[in-house]
This record gives sequence, C-alpha cells and structure tokens, in this order.
Amino acid sequence: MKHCICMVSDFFYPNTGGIENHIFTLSQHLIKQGHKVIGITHQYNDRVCVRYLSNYFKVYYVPFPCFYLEGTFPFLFCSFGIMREIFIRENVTIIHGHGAFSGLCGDSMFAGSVLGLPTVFTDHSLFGFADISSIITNKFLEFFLSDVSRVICVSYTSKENTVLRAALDPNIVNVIPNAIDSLMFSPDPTKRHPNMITIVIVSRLVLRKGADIMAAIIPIICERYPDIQFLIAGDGPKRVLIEEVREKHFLQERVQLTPGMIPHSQVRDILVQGDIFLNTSLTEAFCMAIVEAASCGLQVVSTNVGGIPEVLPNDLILLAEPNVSSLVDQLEVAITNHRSGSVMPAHVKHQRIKELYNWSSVTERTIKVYNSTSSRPGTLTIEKLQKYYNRGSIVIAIIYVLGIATAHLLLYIIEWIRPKHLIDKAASLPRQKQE
Amino acid sequence: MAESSKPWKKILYERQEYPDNYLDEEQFRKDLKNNLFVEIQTINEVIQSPVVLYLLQEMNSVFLFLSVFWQLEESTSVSLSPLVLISVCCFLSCLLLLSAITMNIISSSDSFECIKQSVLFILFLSGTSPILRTLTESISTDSLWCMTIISFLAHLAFHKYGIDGVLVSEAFSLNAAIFAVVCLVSRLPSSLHAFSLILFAVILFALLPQLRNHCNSGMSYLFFQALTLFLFLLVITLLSTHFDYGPLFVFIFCHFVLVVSLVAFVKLQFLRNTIHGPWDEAAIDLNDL
Repeated sequence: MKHCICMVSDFFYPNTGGIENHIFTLSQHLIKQGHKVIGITHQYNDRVCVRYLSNYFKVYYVPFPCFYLEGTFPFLFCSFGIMREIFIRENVTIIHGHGAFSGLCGDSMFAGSVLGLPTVFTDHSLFGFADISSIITNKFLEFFLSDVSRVICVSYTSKENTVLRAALDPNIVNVIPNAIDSLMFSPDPTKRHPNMITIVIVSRLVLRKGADIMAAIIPIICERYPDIQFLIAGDGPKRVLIEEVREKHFLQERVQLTPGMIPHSQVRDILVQGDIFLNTSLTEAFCMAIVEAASCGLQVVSTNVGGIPEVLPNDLILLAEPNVSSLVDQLEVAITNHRSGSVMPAHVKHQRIKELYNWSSVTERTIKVYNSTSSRPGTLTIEKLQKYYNRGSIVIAIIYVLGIATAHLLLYIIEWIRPKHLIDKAASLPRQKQE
Repeated sequence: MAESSKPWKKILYERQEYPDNYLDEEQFRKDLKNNLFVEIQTINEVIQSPVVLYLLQEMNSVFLFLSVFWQLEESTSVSLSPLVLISVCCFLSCLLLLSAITMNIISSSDSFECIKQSVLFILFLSGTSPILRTLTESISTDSLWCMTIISFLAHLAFHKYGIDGVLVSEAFSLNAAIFAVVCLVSRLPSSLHAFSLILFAVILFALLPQLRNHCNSGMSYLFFQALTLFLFLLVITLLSTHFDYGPLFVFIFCHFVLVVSLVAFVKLQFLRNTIHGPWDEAAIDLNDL
C-alpha cells in the first residue's frame, strides 16, 4: 500500500538539528520506497513559498510567525483552513508530526482528527513535570494527542515519559530508535594523534548538556595524565566557562575549542581525530552523539541518564553517574583500556552500529506504523467526542469538547466557502509515480 | 502477538522478537516515583510557621495605609498633618536602618551609602510628587477606589510571605501596591500631602517586607510579633475615629482571610502530586564542581 505522507514540524530545513535531520532523512527513504512525501513548516525569514528539496520532496513554507526559538504558537483554528487546503490539494493520507514543542505539529494533529485523517506523532525529547511551562506544554500535548492514531518514541524511557505527559494508551505507542547514516560516520584511525590520547566532546555548551561538569573534569584529567588532550566542538552560553578553565590552568595547547558550532556534515572529521568520546548530558531521550561516536570507532564514556543506557550495549559504552568523580573514574578506565590495547577495533564497532541503527530498518518499521493506522470519519461522532471527554477532570473535558465541536462547526463554514471539489489537485511528479 | 522464549528487555541495541508497541506491564514505569519530596503539613505546623505572622502584618500594612490616607484627606485642624507624617517616616526609616545594622543585613560601612541613596530618593520624590498627584485627577473617585482595591488585593495575593511559590512575585506585588498608592494620591489636597503619603507607602510596602524576610528566628521574630500587634492596635485606633464599624471590619477581614487560606492550604494538600523518573534532568551537585 502506497501512502501520501505529510510531515509537519516547526523544525525543518534550512534550520539544522536532530529533528530536522531525522525528518529529512526519513522522508528521503520513504520517497525511495515509492511513497509520496510532502512537508509543512512555518516561514523561515522571507521564505514563504512551496519548494522542492532533493528527490522532489515538496515543502510548504506557510506564513506563520515564530514566537520562541523557531517554535510557533499553537494557532488551533487559525491554521485549520490552510492545513485542510494543503491536505486536500496533495491528497494526503497520513499526517506525521514531529516534536512536542512544535505548535504547528500540534495543530496538524488536531486538524487530522477533525478531518478524519490518520495521524502519527513522533516525540524526540524528554520533558519534566515540575514547572509551570511544562504543565502548560503538557496540557496542550494532551489535547492535541486526544485522538492520535499512533505515536512513535525514540526510546523506552521516552515512551514512558510521553505516555504520562499526554495521558496516552501505551499500546498505541511504538518505539523506533533514531538511525545514523553509517556511511557518513566511518572510522579512520590514521587521523588520530600518534602520541597523545584525544578526548572528544561534541555538544552544545549549555547547562542541559552538562557543560559545568565538563569544565570541572578537564583540569582534573589534564593534571593526572600529561599525554591527554581535549578537542571540543560546540558553542553556547557556557563556552565562556570552558575558555575560563582553559586559561586558568594554562591548558591552551591541550584543550582545543572549535570556533563556533560545526555543521553536522563536519562532525565526522572531528570525531575521527579522537580516541575517547565524552558525553556529559543531564537529560537525553536517545542521544545521537554517542551512536555517531561509536560508529566512528571511539570509546564512549557517558552519563547514565534518560534513554542512554538503552542505546549502546555494555561493551561499547562506559556509563557513569552524572557527577564529576564518577565520570573521571570511567574516563580513567577508558584511558587504561586504551593503553593496554584491550579496545574493540574501530571497524568492528562501526559494523555493529551499522547493523543496529540503520535508516532502512527505521523506514521499514515506520511504514509498519503507517499501515496499522486506519482512516476515521471526518464528522463529529459520539466516539470522537468521548475521546476528548475522557481526558481528565470535568473542567478540562468541557474545554476539550468545546474545542473539537467548534472546529467541526468551522469545518462546515470552510466547506461552504471553499468546497472540496473546487480545490485544485496537485499533480504527482512523474519521478515519484514511476518509483 | 508473537510470543518468544526470550524475556523482553528495555534495550534498543538488540532487535527483539516483540512488536514495536510491545508493553511489558512489569517493567513499564518501574522507575516512576510519586511525591518523592512532598511533605504533607499539619494545621499545627502551619499555624506555628512565620507565614501566618507575615500575612497578618501585610494585611495590617494595607489597612494602616488606608487609615493614614483618610486621616490626611480630611483637612480639619485635628487631622494628621503631612509634616507630622514626614517626621514619622524619618523616624521609621532611621529605625529600619538601625535594626538592619544590628541584624547584620548591611554592614555599618554601607550605611552611608544607604543614607545617600535615601536622600537622592527623597529629592526625586519631592520633585515628582506634584506630577504624581495630578496623574489620576481626571478619573472619577469611584473608578479610583475600584482600581485601588483590586491592586491591593493583587498585592496581597502575589506577596512573598517568606516562602516561594508559583504565584509569588515580589516585583509584581510591590508594583501593584505603588499603583494603588498613586491612584489614591490625587484625592489629597496638596503636593506636600502627596509627598508624605508616598514616602510612608514606600517604607511600608518596600522597606518593611525586605527587613522582615531576614528575621524569622529569635529576638527579631519576637520583635515582629510585637510590631504586628502594635500595627493592629494602631489601625483600629485610627479607623475608629473615621468609621464606626471600621475596626470591626478589619478584625473580621483579617481573620476570615487567615482562616480560609490556612484551611484551604492544609485541606488541599491531597492534590499535591509530583512525578519523578529517569527522564528528569539530573541535578548537578554544586559542591562537586
């Protein structure tokens, strides 16, 4: 069965990041399998248009303004008309939204529920329950996912988190890990320093990634081992802290910082120069960085938080508690292993990662999720109302039911202004047809 | 569902013979913990905490301000003259400064800096008080009183009573009080009246709570208990000259708010629910760094 999938997210090319990369690569693989894929995202600066990316991946840059860090506000009914127009125009059969922080993605889940299209939601991040902003975000997520067909999470920890946050039935939540392009992350031991042991860190330098712990570890390790050097690629508010530590302990020659954030395509060139990879994240749903590092044949030392213990088997990773002494201990184990030569050869590691996290397996599992969804009635049925009604206390239930009922009323009005048969159908491109 | 002989494991690095949406009832949410750090407080603990005192005192501050306003507003020979109020303010600010030094909140070397800033503030205020007085002159008295009451309620609701909470915002609370003061000031007969009242309000709403946040034990706490009682008696005396039922109203209002808020706080604690699990951001031990 061939689907027409609509990827919706605020995080999209030309922006770069984990989610952006995931959507783009998954779409490319789905197109190769013969499915039609389109994308919807908000405007990027003056980019308000329809564009084609590689392999005729058609993207709608819809004129919605951002309100915080590339995220749009959930517009609810305002974005409803334009979404319906695109879905009908492109003959979309499945809506796939990415990222809980994306307002546009939430809107599309809601629109899918109203129009009766199957919806799939992928959650990429973990989120707490403690502060007021997380309470509000979680309530929005709960509303938008009231009638979702399937949810995909990147790890089992992420699944537990999402089920709690959005009050979902755990049986509709599938766990499909992220994947890497293993050709892009191949090992190259010749690039390593012949006499020194290099510890590589590739991360944004922010609190969540444990930049403070990083800054505390560097002088301790450098003092104990004169033949260790650090290579840090990343940028962020905590960069100053690292530079300060470097200056204070006269480590300019041994702690190398790249100028600013490096593009994803150059990460491999940094990684292959190292022997040990250090990850100090304080929270992480999946952590692509450690998979990429292991694929390049590095020994990985990481904090044991979030979904990280699920990602790599014990012989590929050294797990530590998120504090300085534990991480230093594990780094010392890694250094001893390196000296004694009892390290798994780089190409063996690469081969194992290649089998574990490849895109074709992810695509195949995602298509299985698509196949398990079924279309629903595009009218206001008692079952649909009940789904929204059974979401918690009576106040919340009334707000949710009013929301969905208003949307259906709006649908009638839009149907009258822009009847379905008057909307032009976009022609499929020959290339997509033929594949 | 394909049953397998191998038990399901919470790992991603092996393709297991279970479907992607497999749910292992035993292991699912195994690490979930509820109410890890929640302490349920009894009514006795709450009554003994300084919060009760702070709440009473803040309500009294509001009523004291209002009664002083009424005294100033009537320009008869027996009523409060602005010059008297200014000297009271001077006395109070000296008292506050002295107590701040004795409680080691500011060192005595800083006190010169404090006095310099106070003089600057007073000069600035005396310059702007004619403007502040005429700011809301064209608005009807009823609207002004309405805005004042709403602002004072907001001040009480958002005030920091020695504990942090979601609703607590010191800045908003102070701004609401000052807004209420500026609303009322336009009903006063002269700029000197306005100056004295604003000065008094700043001491009452900005300086006093600052000092109070530092004294929650020992002698200073006793001092504040005495101060609260004194304020209460002062309010009742001042109001009784103005309204027949004023003191009764203040008495009932303070006790009603106190009882309702305390009972609600204690009784609604069963709703407290915090969730902890492996997805929480790990806390960094600052001593460790």
